[in-house]
Amino acid sequence: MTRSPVTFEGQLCRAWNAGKPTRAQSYVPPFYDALDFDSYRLMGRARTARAFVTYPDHYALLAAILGEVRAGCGPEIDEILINSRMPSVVRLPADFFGTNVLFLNDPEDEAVRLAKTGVQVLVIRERFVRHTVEAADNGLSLLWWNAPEDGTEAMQRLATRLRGLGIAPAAKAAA
Amino acid sequence: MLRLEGIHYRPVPHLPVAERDSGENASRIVGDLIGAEIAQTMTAHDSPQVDFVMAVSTIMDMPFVSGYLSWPLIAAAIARHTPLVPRGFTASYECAGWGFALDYARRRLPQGGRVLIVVADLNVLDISFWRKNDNWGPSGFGVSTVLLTLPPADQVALSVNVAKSVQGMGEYCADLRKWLSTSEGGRANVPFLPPEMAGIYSHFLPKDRMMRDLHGAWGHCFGSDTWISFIDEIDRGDIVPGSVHCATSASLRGYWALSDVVLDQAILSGFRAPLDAAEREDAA
Repeated sequence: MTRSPVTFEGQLCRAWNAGKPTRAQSYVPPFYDALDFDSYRLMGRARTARAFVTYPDHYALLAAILGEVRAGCGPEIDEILINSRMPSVVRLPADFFGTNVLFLNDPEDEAVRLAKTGVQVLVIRERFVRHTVEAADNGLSLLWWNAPEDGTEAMQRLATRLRGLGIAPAAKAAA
Repeated sequence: MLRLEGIHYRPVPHLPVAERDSGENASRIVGDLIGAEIAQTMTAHDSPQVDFVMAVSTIMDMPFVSGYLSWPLIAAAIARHTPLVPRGFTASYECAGWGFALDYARRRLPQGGRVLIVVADLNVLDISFWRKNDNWGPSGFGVSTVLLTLPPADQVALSVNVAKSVQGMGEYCADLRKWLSTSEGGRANVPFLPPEMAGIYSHFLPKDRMMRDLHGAWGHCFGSDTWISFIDEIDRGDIVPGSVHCATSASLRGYWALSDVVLDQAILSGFRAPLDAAEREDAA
């Protein structure tokens, strides 16, 4: 039996690097013909929130979150699984390579599978809106299986650090 | 070294129009296709034992992030065809996805095991950007199933990389040239590119060790280029069971994978008949 994961629920509340000049780097998904417009109509039906990040910002923010997770949750994590949200438009930063990180769609099942074998695994599930065709709500969930005894305290310290990135704890998680 | 036991590729030029009825339909169609390929591949092999299954893609991006496609629904559809449901799906590493999946398998199965990689590039909603593109010319869509034996982690000759400069293809070619200079592998495949872009290969790579660039016959088939090359070379008798070769893949964004593979003595490989929407709807 695997213990429940230590969790954090947060919400991105402001633009990445708010108040600082940044390149626009806007990206419009490629619409070329009538069928494309219909396809994007079909895909764009889900509710979405306001976008606070461009595609390049998205990876910069994610790299910053990964840095905080590694600093805050210690080097003992065996595997970090991040939900894959493509397209990316830009290259993943080097922080995500040569290490124990894998991007997967819906990584929770895999995390539970690993956790059952005693692996210390942390899932970063982010839903930061980059374009309104996306079904996303700017939420961030962290789930840490087989966390050490002081995992809850470490996650609380991490939550404080994430505020600096514009991510506030969700009301439910603070209760 | 990784041992290749089975390689098959199914071209799927178009999905049935029912994919446009709803995201649930599209997910079921994708899952049925992938599940049928896995089932057919495993039927041909003596042992049903597989320790790790992963699905990768390049082009299946916006349909997922928009919520149109759902991986859990796809996985449920696959499960109706085979118990070998992929434990995950990723498009984050683009055409090099199979390499990153194998790298993860090496990490999580350090003792080794039998691994099935599914490379699925299905043009859900028939997006024109993916049909043909200035970056790679015409595309080809389909599903590869690749069955391998993964040796203990310290015996896997696999390298997964990310470019440091904007010249990702140049870095990939330089790395492959270096790899070939020390590898025992005979021949290496390259991503399929039209002739006007393939000059980079003749500039960097030893011609006598390269598999053909099959862009003219297949278009660019993303992560499946690798496996189409291997099937083609086996069909021609240019590579034979027991020999060692280098499987490679490189992505537009600058990710690449290189791996030595030995062809199992009983390797099963081949192209499956194209599954086009019209035929599927006739059969339904």
